[in-house]
Amino acid sequence: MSSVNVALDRENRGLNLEEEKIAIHVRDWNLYYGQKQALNKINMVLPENRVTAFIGPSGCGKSTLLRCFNRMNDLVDGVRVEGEISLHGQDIMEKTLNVSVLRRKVGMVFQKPNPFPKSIYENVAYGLRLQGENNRSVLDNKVEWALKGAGIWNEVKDRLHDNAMGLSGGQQQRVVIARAIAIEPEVLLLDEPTSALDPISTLSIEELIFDLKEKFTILIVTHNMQQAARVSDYTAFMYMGELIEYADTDTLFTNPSQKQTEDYITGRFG
Amino acid sequence: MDSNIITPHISRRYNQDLENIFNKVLAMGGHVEEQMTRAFEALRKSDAVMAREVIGLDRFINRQEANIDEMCVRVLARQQPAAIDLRLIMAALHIVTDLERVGDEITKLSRVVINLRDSENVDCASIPGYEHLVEMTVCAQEMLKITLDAFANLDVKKALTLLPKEAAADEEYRAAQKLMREHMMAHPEQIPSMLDLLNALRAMERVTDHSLNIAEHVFYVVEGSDMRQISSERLADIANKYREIL
Repeated sequence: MSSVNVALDRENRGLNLEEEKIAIHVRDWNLYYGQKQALNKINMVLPENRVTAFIGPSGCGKSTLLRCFNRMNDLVDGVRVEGEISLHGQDIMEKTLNVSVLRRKVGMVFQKPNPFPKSIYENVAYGLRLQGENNRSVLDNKVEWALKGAGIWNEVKDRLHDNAMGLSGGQQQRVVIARAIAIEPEVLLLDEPTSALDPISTLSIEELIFDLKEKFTILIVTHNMQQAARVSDYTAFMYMGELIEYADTDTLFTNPSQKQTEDYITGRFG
Repeated sequence: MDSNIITPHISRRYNQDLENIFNKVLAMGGHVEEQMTRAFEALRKSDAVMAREVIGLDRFINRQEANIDEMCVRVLARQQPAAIDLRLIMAALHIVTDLERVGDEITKLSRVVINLRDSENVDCASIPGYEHLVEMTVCAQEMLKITLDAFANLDVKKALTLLPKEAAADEEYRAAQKLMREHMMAHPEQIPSMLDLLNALRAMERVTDHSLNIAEHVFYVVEGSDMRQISSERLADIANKYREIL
């Protein structure tokens, strides 16, 4: 993959996948729902401390692929997988691997904000408590750190013990992100994290994504192509279970190499 | 649009917007070509009346540029174009700027014709260096036509033919300049009219530059890369792809 010759003057200009540190390797990855093949021979590497966006029409397999990274598909009946996915060299499908350990390393945020019907504080402390952390001052510090990281500390610091369900959608989603990052995962999976939010909340989440990549590797599935163009460093275009094109975002949105990608991002898909 | 790389979108309105922009740029190009033809005729006939008409056309050209700019901004704001569409809009914005400047250069040429005829009552053809100006004008006219054809058909092969032509025009300009400078030194009494001619010569040389710019924009639309930033080896490779023409 060649670096971008002409890019907008952004800090990620001239990205080159070959020069990146890689967090996740995906090799010959197939996934079947019963008889139906949903992912077809996916091969890709996902760089560390970058935002990688997955775009493609509904049913293309982008969410399915995202759910492979923390083995959420284990919970679906009739799913069969082949191939290999490794996180920092560790095969995530290994039989001896404890899935909850994997999910601690690979956090996930869904389309609809899903705070627990508890206080804001307890929502964020939840994962830490599960890990056995009960020291009050450690919890206080981590909750504050996570809420700050999720860009919502100033809005909630005076009502940490109010029920999280009373927050607006955008605030709830940021609390959920705080909950996900509180346990300091290596990778953060975002599955349509803003599609239920208004444009302003969407922008603040996007801004947050941009800040979070300093600490985490972020993978985001989005239907909103402009969002992918705005927040990601790399973009993968998927179609009918296949990875059609994967490139740095500037190249993919200005000069894609595949006709299918071009048809999709320019609205010519029929 | 008759190019097969620009195919219809799901949104008919978006299609219509892009087609309108493309067609308006072509129409503007046609008007600039027309302006050029008439300016050339004014030069050959030393016809100040016609030269004035040519200058009158310039406002019309400027208005077209503003109009297309506005259309592009509207599409950028409303459709968030990507890939080929984005490249086409960016190229349109640049091409109309170049065309507007070509219009300005043609105006300069026409002013020289008027100046010589009105104030000094000199027939252009009688001034040494006139034949160089004619040659440069023919060359500018030809390059403008080629580059507009290349845009109309998004034809990279044609666009690339402008590279050697522009280099030759530069050479021709330098040679003519040198010759005229020598003549001025030998015949100082002719300096005022020769300076006018030199200005016109410079204007036509600028037209060849703008024509090459337009060719570069055609290249960008089709290839997705900036011709100016590509090494000569890679450019040669691309030229090869379009069958050796450089």
